[in-house]
Amino acid sequence: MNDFSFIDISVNANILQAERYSRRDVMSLFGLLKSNDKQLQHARTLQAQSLAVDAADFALQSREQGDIGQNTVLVFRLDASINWSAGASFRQEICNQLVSYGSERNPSNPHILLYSQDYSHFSEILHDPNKQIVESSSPNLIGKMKESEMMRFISNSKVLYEHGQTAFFHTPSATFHDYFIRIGNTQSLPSFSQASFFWSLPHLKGVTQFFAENWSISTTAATFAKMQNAYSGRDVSEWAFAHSYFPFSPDDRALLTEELRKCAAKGGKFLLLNSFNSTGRLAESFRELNTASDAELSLMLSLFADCSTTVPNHEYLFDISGFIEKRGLSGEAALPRGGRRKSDQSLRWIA
Amino acid sequence: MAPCIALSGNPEAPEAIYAQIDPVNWDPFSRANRIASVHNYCVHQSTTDDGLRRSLDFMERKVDLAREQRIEANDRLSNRESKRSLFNYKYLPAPEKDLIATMSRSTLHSHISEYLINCIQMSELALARGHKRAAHRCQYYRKKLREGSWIEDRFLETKSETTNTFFLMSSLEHGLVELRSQSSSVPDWRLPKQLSTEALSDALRKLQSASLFNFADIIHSRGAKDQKDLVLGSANRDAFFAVNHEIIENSMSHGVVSAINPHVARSSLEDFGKVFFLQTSTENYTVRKSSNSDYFPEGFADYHRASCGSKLTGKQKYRVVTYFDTGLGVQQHLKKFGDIPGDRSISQIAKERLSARPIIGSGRGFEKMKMFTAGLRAFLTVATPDSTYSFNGFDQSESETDSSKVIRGTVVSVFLPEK
Repeated sequence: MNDFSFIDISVNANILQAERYSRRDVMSLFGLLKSNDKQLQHARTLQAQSLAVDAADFALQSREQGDIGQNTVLVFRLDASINWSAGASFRQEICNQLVSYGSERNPSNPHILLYSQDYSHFSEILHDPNKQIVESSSPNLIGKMKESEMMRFISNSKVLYEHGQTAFFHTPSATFHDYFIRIGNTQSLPSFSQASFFWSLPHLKGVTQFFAENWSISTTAATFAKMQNAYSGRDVSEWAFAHSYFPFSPDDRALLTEELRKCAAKGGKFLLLNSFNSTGRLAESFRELNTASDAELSLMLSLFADCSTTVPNHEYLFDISGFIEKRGLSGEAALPRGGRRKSDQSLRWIA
Repeated sequence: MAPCIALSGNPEAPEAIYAQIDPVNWDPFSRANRIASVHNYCVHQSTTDDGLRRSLDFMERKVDLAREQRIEANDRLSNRESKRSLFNYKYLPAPEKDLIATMSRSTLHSHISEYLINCIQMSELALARGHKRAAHRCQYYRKKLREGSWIEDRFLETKSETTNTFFLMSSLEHGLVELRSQSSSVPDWRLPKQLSTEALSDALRKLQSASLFNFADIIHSRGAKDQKDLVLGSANRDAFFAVNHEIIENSMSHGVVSAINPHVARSSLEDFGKVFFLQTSTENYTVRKSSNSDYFPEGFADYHRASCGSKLTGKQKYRVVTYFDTGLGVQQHLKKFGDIPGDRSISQIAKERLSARPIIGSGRGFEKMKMFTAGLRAFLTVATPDSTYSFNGFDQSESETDSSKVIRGTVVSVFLPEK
């Protein structure tokens, strides 16, 4: 599999203004508006240049530092909170600049442009010097990029805790695992919000209410709501979070039920944002509550899931079972009843 | 001779001038305030009273040290040496050398900037006192300075927009240290763009607060009437910051002694400058040749014609931002550190993408500068001791001459027509 490195290209609001003006320029063709399209076209080219140049220079610096290799595929992701169906010409400008300037800065690295249009992912191969991408990854290229990026997040030492099966972790769903994943810590990793929102986009069409299953990923829910507003161009998305693991908390169950009801009353779509699905208990509990409150438009999305323990019957972004298996872990631990094994004193439990 | 302040490249200046001044009658305290405020400025503490006080303390301590040395001195020569030690850390006697060793890098840099300013002030003093030989030297020195770098005789004089100088090194190095303490991902040999942007913004903000230099003027969005103006303004601002970053990064990583200059460790310090600053000014250009100042380079007339467009008067005001580093100059630096045989012109260096950094993909900085200069429809000049290069942002034509007013370092100027 190719080694991917992701570079986010953040776009300021002025660019969108430029796009709106370009639409006005189209109208001016019909004599509806008089506008100086040449000036705006020039401004757009200039901004596309500065964005592409910054991104390409950043890649060069990373290569100098040894953070990325000579053949690492550079994935330039256009601002995830922008629906690029309305910014086609600007996107094209950035593409052109990345092809001309970017490929000169990093000649040996393949370049891919990644963006979304109307909640669907799109990619364009901009530069592929040795036909590296075409040969190895072209089928399901987007899926491979997603896997690579999500894997990068999960393999961070701040996120995955494990002690080679010498210690067990007590999970919120009251089971024991030989590893513990704290997704909340991904929030401090650079570009996580852009990446998680981008990969969640196919599930976010029409969503107006985000509900985080726990406070630990509440910032992610808040960011999703903000980015969803920008993406849809409508300032309607809201967010809330449960204060503890809601299957065991009557208060949080009541809160969730209330949020579901409110969302249904407004005619919006509800999304339960789950950090990690392993036992499926949370999904089951949500299904019960969901039926009770008659919310029709609602779904659950897990950022990560371990499909080796439970196959989720809801949406998820990345299955970590293969990754866990490679590290010699088995997931849910089959512990003998009665607590600690007498024969193995070195075994520790971490709750 | 002190190699560190080779601003003019003349081995006799500025210490030679200094030697003509009667050190006994010279009173360092009369100028302490002004020097302190300059020093203060260099370490970016100008906004606080505490910073000013600390700078004064610093100056006074040094003056005390010099006074002690002067008392101990038996002859005129040693007196001169001790006086010199005030300003040049290379000649400092033992006690102050220890003091220097404990200084942070940025303090040391500001110390050197201060030394430079003092040298110029010394030359002024010599002129005022009417020492014939010194006055002659001084005039020569000032002329060279003005020709090469537009250094005005008064530094940091914010009452006039043509006389302002912003020392960049200490603020950039300080920013780098701060940034590195916050994040481990700051590159070793690169200047984060954030820092170059802050350095320029800071200088422009100070000028703007004195109503001298409104950046909005040059990015054509003054009194932005609608969104269109904002779009144009932000595009131009981004482009200008891109040019600014390229110039600053190149000087910091090649021209001067800095934390991001990879060549410093393996070469003599004489190959690098110690001073790096920017100046801004406003210049008028008319079609009448005689009324134009010497500042305008060759080939500017064509640019002016395109810039004026249909204006009947033929007169145009230009905002000029100049960057000056006191390194070897682009060509000499490449010759020494890029292992490139033969002499190359600046345009050849740009075309062949030569770089002193052995990384695939480097050497495109000049292209980047030209790309954004063209985007801004500005005029760019790069002057080194070997040649003067100019680039017209309107028709993207370039020219280069062997003559140069610069004796040492690289001087990059960006001319922006004021609308």
